Amino acid sequence: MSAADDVQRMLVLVPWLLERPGAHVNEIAEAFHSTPEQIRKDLALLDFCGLPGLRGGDLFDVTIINDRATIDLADELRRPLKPTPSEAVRMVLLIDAVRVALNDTVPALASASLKLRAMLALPPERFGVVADDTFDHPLTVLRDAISAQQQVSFTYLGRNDEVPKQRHVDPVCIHVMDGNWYLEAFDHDRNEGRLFHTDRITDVSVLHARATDHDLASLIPAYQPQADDAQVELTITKPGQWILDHLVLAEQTTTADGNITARLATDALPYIARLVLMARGKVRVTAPPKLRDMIATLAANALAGYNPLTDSKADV
Amino acid sequence: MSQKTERLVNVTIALLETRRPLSFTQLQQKTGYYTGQDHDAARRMFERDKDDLRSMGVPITTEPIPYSDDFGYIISRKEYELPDPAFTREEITALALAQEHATSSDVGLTFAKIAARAPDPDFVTSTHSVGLRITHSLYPPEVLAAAVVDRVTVTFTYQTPHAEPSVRSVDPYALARRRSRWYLIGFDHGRDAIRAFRVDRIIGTINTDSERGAFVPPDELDLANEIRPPADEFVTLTGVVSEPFATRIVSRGGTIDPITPDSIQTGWLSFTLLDVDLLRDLPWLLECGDQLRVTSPQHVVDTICETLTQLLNDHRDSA
Repeated sequence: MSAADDVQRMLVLVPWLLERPGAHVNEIAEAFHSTPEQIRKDLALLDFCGLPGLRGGDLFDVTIINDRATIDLADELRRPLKPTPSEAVRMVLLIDAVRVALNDTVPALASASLKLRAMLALPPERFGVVADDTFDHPLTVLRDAISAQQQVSFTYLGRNDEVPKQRHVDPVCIHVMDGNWYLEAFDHDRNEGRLFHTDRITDVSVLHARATDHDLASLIPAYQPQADDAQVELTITKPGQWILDHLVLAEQTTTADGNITARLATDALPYIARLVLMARGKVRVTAPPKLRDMIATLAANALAGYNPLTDSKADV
Repeated sequence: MSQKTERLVNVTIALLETRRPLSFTQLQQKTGYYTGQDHDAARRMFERDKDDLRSMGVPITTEPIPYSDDFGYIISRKEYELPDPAFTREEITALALAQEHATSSDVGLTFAKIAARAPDPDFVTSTHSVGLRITHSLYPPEVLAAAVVDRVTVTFTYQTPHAEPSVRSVDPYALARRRSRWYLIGFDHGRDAIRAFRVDRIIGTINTDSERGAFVPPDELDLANEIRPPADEFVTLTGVVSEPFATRIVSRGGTIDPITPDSIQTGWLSFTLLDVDLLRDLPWLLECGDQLRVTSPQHVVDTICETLTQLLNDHRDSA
């Protein structure tokens, strides 16, 4: 908790309490995503605030009886502090993401969003999220399967797959992370939790079998480097640096010419190979030789398709 | 820490309460703070507090004091206070529900601000809250968000993939996100036209260059249209794809031609893909490797072959 958070919470606590005299400390803590202990501290501190001032005696009066708080003489702070533009942007984006994810099934959310945007001077034509309509996410189907607790099967191109494969899962949750969509699910074939990019999911069918409940927190173990992981070294030129968003690096250094040398451990060389292909030549693998071979072979085979007369395959 | 919190709250109250800007001396008298022996240190302490409060969105302004040569400090109530949104109970409940889906609590305080004087939400037991988590970590820089709201001209250095970085002076009309990327849309003074900028290609500091309300943005702005590349950058691709990869074409809105005796024999399916933006789509086309081959247009075939040749040369060991 920073001093900035403390100050803002106190400034908002006053109008909140003026609206709800006699609110319980637990209720306040819940509304402010804080703890009852912190709220008691805040209220004690507020009691010292207000100014003796020139007009005399305008100290706040905070009364707490049986953990229920009332505040008087705080007219200066009768209205809450306006959110900053970036705070407002966060709030509005969150609401819009939820609206899209719920497929506009909560009408009050749409009207609340419009009021909020008007109040914060963020009309939709000034701040917006542009949907990428070239991607046909199977979201409605997945969401319905989650609510109905039904198992689903689909085709998926996984990190270690050369070609898309059939998957059979208990869908648990849809994650929207910065506009990227993932399905969190229990994978029956692998007998563990997995995160699937929804734009790599196709051909979803909802099965009649009922999905079991799974504990979300323990479902997806964080990636732990293993002793037999391959050690990869990449040279990344400036236009290729988006690749860093997709990797967990062990080490990164910037060379004099502005390129980045990145080192990482991985259990999924085919995934790295595909990322390097996607980088259109802006990323070069320097180690291990196995990954270099993999990319050279992929490139040679693809080229062979374009030049059927020259047999590039033989060169590798 | 709590001393500082108390001081910042009280300075806010003092500057909200006053009708005329308070000089530093008046503020000292009124609050009892910043009165240490070392005047310069006390003054610096106030300057730090003022910056801290401003960064929280407390709008402290510096204004001339009437009938005096001095400057003073004041908070405009109109700038400070959140107007009453007049949310209904249903709306507040819907907002509470939206907040339930957020994985981080960083909107918690914002929600408290907008809901402080609104009705309490109904107890949320919606089935909608099942199975949906929303995480945001990419936000546009504060200075850009503020510049759009306050209509302030900005200047920054912008890097494009094909040219040297250049300094741009822009009236920021809008911020838009597509997938995980932010775009600034605005009037570029140097180019005398509306342009879209990728925020992650802005280098260094963004400077504000004007008073507030320096321009009037157009009434209608189609964000999707502004951040789309010009129409002539879209191409229609035809090609062949292996059967396991055909779903990737379909998921991007492409069509697979009906199966012919020839396609059964070779295992390759013909496809057509409309509205291909090479900047956006070339990566996944390349990713398909030898499972997908473009047959037209020729310039795309050439680009792909050049890239594959470079990849091959970069990774083929000369030994």
